[in-house]
Amino acid sequence: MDFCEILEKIAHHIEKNAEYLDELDAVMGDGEHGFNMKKCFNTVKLMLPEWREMSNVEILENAGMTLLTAGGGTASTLLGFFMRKAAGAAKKETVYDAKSIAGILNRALESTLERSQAKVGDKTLMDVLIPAVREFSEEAENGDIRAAAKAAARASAEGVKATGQMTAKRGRGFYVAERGLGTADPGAASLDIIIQTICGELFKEG
Amino acid sequence: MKKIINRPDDVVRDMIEGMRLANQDIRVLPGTGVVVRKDAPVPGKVGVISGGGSGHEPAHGGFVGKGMLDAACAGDVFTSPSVDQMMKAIRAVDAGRGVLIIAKNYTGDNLNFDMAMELLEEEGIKTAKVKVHDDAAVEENADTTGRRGVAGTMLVQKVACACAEAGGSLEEVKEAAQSAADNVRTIGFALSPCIIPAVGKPGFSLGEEEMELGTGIHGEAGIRRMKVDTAHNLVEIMLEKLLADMPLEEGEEVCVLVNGMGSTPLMELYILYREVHMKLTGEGIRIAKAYVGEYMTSLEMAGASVSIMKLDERRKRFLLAPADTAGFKQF
Repeated sequence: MDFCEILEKIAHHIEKNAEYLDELDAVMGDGEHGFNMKKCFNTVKLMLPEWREMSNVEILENAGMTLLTAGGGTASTLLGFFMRKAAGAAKKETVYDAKSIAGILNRALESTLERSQAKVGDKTLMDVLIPAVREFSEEAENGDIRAAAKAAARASAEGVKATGQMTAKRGRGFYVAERGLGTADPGAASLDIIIQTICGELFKEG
Repeated sequence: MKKIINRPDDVVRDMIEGMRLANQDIRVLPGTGVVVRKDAPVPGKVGVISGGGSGHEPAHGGFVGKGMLDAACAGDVFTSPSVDQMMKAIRAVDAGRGVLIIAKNYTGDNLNFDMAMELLEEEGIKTAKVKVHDDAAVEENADTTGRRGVAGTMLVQKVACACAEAGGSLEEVKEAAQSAADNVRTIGFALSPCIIPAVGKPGFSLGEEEMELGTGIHGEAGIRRMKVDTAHNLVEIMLEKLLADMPLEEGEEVCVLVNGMGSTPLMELYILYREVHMKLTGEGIRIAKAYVGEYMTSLEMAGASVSIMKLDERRKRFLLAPADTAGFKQF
């Protein structure tokens, strides 16, 4: 699995959906989430040639740091932080299988939860991240990484759909409250695009 | 919008560049908007940094220098600096004894500072953070983010930085900052709104004879709209609100800060100060030190705020210690 290739695909899918993300954000916040995410991943894309020789863990660390630099919103910042923490946890592992990856994701999630303090139901990107990591971990118990990725992709899609029925308790959406009903959270939606891209690449590899 | 700028998207970059060119005692970390004391890291000294959205100048970049901040991170106008900026600022000022962060209480600022601290912990840099939430206009409420950090932040920075300059440990500097933050309250008002350059129009509007009490430093809604009143009556209302939140006893010693929001004449700030002075001294409060001027502005907003900090011997000593920065000098 080549992380540079995956990041390039993510940048492509984010760019393709930037307008849709902006539309969601126009209801929930200030209408620039798609623009911001596009900016972030375009910066990542520009860095890729320099990262080609690096290990996947180093690529993950650098991509996380890039999101923390180029960011311009809480969603990209939290995502960058998650990636940095995941890279930190990954450095302590020697084998990367379903179980150890679940462990890495859970440690990164724990730190991110502590920072964001958002829970499931608050209508933030955590409504996608938490169930995706949880479902991945449960399925990973059986040692099948593809099944785990499939479960994560399903949980992610359900998570973003569920945010459409929520009233925001945290984040920018908090200020629009009921008016946001029927609209998915933009941060959750962009994370879902990222997760679907990663999982899609996993299946392709066979 | 009438502003002397080049391009709205470049205002922060251009301003930081101007600050650097005008001030030989600071440097700017390339491409970051992080202003650093030229001699940082100062050997043997705990570093103190702050930061936040731009548009509040001289806070915080103008307070970088001897006796005050070691570094300040400037975000976009009214937008939190990035985690990366904060990490670079902290690394640039750490002399091995740790770094204290003084943050105004806003969600984005604190989230980012907390992440920066956690990531730097992995690099072995010791950090601590104190939040300032001095705005007496907003009620504390467990469900929300809580009170905003406003002009009183400058006084907290002054106390903490003097403690660091005097050789205090990270724990001592943090304790000094915390005691200052616990003992300062601010209340402000706005006469006219401000315009974020990239937005181009005011975030709120006020009628010709109208003002708003309790407005935040980003133009956030205050407690109430009222007709513009005399300085005397306005100070009565402001101090009543402030002192209800932080009562003062006869004989107590305080520092008073009358802060202009951006386009209020010094004449009016001194008129306000006169009223505050007479009211407080009339109640037997001793004013050990007063500052009148622009310390925490909100772009071109017209209005002002009054901050009061209760002093004990220690806070007073740190407050009165010398400092030499572009935006705050004291000898």
